[in-house]
Amino acid sequence: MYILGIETSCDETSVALLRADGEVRCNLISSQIARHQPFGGVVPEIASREHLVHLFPLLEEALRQSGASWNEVETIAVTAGPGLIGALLVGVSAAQGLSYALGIPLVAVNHLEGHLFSPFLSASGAAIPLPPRFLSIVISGGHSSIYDVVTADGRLEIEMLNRTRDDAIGETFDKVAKFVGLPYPGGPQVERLARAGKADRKRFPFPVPQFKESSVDFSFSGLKAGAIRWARQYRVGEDQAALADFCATFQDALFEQLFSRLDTIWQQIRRSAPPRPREIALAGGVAANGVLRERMQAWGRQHDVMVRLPEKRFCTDNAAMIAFAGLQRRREAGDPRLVKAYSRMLVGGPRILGETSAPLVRPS
Amino acid sequence: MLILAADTSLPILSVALTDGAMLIAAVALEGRNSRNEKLLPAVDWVLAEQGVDRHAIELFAITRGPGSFTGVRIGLATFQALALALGRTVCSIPTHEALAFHGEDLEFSFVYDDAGRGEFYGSTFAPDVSDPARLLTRAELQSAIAANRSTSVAAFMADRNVAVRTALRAAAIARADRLSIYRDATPIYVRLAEAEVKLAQKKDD
Repeated sequence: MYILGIETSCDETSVALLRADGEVRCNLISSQIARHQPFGGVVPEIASREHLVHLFPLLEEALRQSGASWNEVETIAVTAGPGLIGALLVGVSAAQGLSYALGIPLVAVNHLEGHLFSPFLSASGAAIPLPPRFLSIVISGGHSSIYDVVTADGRLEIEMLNRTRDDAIGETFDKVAKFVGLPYPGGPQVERLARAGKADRKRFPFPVPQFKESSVDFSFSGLKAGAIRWARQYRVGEDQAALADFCATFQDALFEQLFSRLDTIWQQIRRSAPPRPREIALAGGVAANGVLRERMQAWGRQHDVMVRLPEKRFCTDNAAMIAFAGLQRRREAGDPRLVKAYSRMLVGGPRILGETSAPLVRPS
Repeated sequence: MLILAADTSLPILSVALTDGAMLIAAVALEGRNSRNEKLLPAVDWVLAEQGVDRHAIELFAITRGPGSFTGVRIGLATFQALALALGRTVCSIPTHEALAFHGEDLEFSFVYDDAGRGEFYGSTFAPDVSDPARLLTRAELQSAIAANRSTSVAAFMADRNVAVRTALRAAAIARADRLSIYRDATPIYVRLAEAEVKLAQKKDD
C-alpha cells in the first residue's frame, strides 16, 4: 500500500509514491526554473499555469514507474501551505478530486514540515526512524528557522525556536547573486564561485547582527545591504578573482550567523527537560550547499551529535518529503471536502494563519 | 449516460448531474473565492441527494475558460483528478461554447464576457464551429454585438445554470461521437500572465 504525495507550492511540480515505512518508490519533479529565469524570480501566475500542465502527466507517470494501481493508494498527502496560493490550489484541487473519487483520506501537509522531516528519508529502503527528540534547521529561499521536534511516546510536537526577522537565508543568497550578475537561482552559483575564492573578512567586513534582547532570531537584511555595498564599491562583478573572494566571504558570513545561533540554542536546549536531543537535521534548499554540509558534519563531531543531512534530491521542493510528513500526520488525514489552501501557515505555533472563509459542507 | 458537469470559471459556481440530455439535479452558489472549498461539497451534495454513486458517473464535463484563471484551474484539476481516479473521460468545453449550445448543436451567435480593465472576452460560433475566444476592446465588442445574435455571459448566469448547459453540450458531443476532440484540458486563459506582458513590452522598447 502507498501514500501519494503532491507538491505545487512554488515552482516545482512534484508527485511521489511512498510505502508506509517511508520507502520512496518514486519521486518525480518537474522544475520550472527555466520558465521563470527571464523574470529573475518566480512569477506566481506562470507557476500556477505550469503546475496544471505538468501535474497530471506526472501522476500517471508515477503510478506507471512504481507499477502501482490506484486501489493500492491508501492515503494522499498534499502541500496545503505555505506558498503561492494559486500554485497551491492546483495541487490541492487535484488531491481533493483524487481523494474523493478513491474514497481515501487526505492529509493537508505544511510544506515546512515536509522539509523538517526530509533528512530522515533514505536513499533506498525504509526511512530512518525518527529519534525521540531532534533539532531541525530548515533553511531555504523562503524560510530560516530552527525547530525543536519531540516524537517520544507517540507525540508529535514541533516548537519553532527562532525565525528570520527579515529575509530568508536562501533569498539573501539569490538577491546578492542577482546583484553581482549571477543567474537565478543564485545560491549554487555563489557556492561554486566561493570554492575558487578565499574568505577575507577584513576586505569585506560583513556585519553579524546582534539583538538587544539576546534573541536567537536570524536577520539577513543587514548582510544583504552590506554585500551589495561592498560589491558596488569593489566592482566585484567585473573581476573574477575579486568576485570569488567576495562570494567566499559573503557565504562564510551567512553561515557564521547560522552557527552562532545554533550554538546558543544548543546550550539552552541541553539544559531543558529530557529527552535530550541527540540528532540534528538540516533541511531545505540551502542544505544542498556542500560547504555548509561539511561544516555541519564538523559541528556534529565537535558536539557529539548525530547530523542528518538530506539527500540532495530531497533538499529542494519535492513530493517525497510531503508524503513522508503526511505519514507523520496520518492521524489527521480526513475528508477531502474540508481541505483548504493557505498562503501562510505556521509550524509549531497556531497551526494556521489567515483563515478567511468557511466551507460549505454538510457534516458526514 | 450519467454526466457530472461543473463550471468554476465564472463568479457563480455551478454543478449539474444529467442522464444524457435529461436533467437530474443542479446547484449554483456564489463562487468568487475559495472555489476548491465549494466544488467538492457541491458535487457531493448533488450526488448524495440523488443517491448516485460516484462510480456510476460515465462522463465528467468541465468548462475551461475564459474566466477566472484560478477558477479554471480548480475546475480542471478537480475534474481531471476525479476522472483519472475513476477511469473515466473528461470532456473539457470552452465556457462560451457551453452557452452557445442550443438544442442539438451550436447556434450562430456571439458570446461575450467582461474581462476587466476595459476589455472583453468574445467568441463567435456557427453550427459545428467553435472559434477560440479573443480579447476585444469596447469598440470591437460593440460592433460584434451589432453584427451577431449575442449572449452576455453575465446575463446568462443571472437566470440560468452554466453547468447544466455544460452537461447538455457534453451529452451532444458524446452522442456525436466527438469526445476525442474535447480531451484537450488546456485552460483558455486568452491573456498572458501580467509579467509576460511587461517583459514583452520591455523588449519592444
